[in-house]
Amino acid sequence: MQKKILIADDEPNIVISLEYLMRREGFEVAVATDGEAALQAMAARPPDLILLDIMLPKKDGFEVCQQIRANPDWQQVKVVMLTAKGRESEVAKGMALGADAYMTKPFSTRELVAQVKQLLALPR
Amino acid sequence: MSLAGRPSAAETGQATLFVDVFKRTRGAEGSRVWRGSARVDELLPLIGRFIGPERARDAFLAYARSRGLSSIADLRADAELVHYAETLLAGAIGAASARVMVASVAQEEPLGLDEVMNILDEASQVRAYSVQLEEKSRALEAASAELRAANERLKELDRMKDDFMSTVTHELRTPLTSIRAFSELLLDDPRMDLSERERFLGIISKETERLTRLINQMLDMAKIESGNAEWHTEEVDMRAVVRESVDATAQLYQESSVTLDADLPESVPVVLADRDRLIQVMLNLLSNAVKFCEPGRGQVAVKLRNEQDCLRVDVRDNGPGVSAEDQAVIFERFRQVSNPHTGKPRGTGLGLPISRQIVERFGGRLWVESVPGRGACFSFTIPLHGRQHDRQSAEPELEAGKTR
Repeated sequence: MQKKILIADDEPNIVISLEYLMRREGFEVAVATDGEAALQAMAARPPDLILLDIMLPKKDGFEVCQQIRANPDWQQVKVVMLTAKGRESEVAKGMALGADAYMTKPFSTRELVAQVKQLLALPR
Repeated sequence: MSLAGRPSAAETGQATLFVDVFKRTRGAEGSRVWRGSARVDELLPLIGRFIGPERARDAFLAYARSRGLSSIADLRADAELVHYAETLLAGAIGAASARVMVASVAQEEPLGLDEVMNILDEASQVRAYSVQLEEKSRALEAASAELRAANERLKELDRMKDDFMSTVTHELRTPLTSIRAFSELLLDDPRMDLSERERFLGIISKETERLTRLINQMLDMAKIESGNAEWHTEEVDMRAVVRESVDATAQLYQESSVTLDADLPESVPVVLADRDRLIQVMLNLLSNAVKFCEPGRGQVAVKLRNEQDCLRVDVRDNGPGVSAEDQAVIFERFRQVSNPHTGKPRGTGLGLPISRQIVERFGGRLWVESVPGRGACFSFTIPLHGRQHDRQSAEPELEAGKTR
């Protein structure tokens, strides 16, 4: 079955590139451009994995991650944090809040695809 | 003092003191004429009050023993004992004061003028010392408060720098992320169809521009701050500056569905300034205004006026406005206010600080007036007559008549 990926990022061009990349790899893609919209999209149709930017409007990535982990229905959802700040403390915070992996922007598209496939236990 | 065992260290110390006291007592012996009357049971508590009852009793006992007596009870309150008591007391409260204290118990003759003067001297010295001490302690307190405040300011500055670095890092990485991602997508798929290809290349090119702008702005700020910026001062027509800036941002306003109106007088006197720098200020104010306006409902109005001794430009928007709290900080470096529409700050937090530095460089002012919820109006002035705050005063100032 086709795996679903939710992209939560507010930077239009980054969303375009991620959307293209994930579609190319055969995933079904949904997009949310702020934290609240991301949670709504989760509720409407839980994805298998969320690519979650930290600096999101309305609710930041940390809060979204926390709420995902607090919801028993979403325990299976893999969370990949995307950070452009590159602070060690942010990465540590994301992992502590229950993220499965993080990627520092700018990321390598190949590495991102490999990471996503690994978390979803798909052949690379 | 225990005579049975070895004296303790404290006792030895006290004994030394007494020996010293005896010496001084003996030195004055012959000269003393006793004319009053005193009682040992009054002297002893008096001395005890100042040096401690135990020490006083020990001292009196030692005195008694030095006279071959076995107890304080055998002592006679003669002139010598009174003098001894005074000497004991002098160590604690000063000689003249001691003399008065003892005299009050010993019912001596009334005090002489000299003695009164001595007391006053001592008292005023003590007061002077205490005033000096108080002053010193106040000064120390003030100095330590200043140090504490300076330390807090440094910490705050450090925190701001850290936030700034983090913001700048984020701003640099964001365009880079798109550039890298789209380059890799194009590389991986040589057979991507042409329209997609063009679209992606267009994004790469735009993001490259954005990155360049950001780097330039950071360098610009650094140059202005260090005094290394180049300034080309010339006669500038502000109407042209405003028109050019409005034209340059027209597309941005169109894309954001925000209207932009310019109200320019027929003519204005020229000002002495750097034309490109003034355009830079205008572009900053115009792009800020559109950033904070609600798409579709946003309105920005630019107005140029000739005031008495300066030209004034207002850039008024109908955005969310700037709170009083934010008004105080938006012109400071590294500070930026989050945008209620996107929720996150954009840019480097350097645009307004740079603009203010430019305007002030030409003797003008840049400020904001705003009622939250009712938009904001950013205004700046450039003085006529070419009055400049030119730190290097490299360029000769033109005469007032010439600038008109």
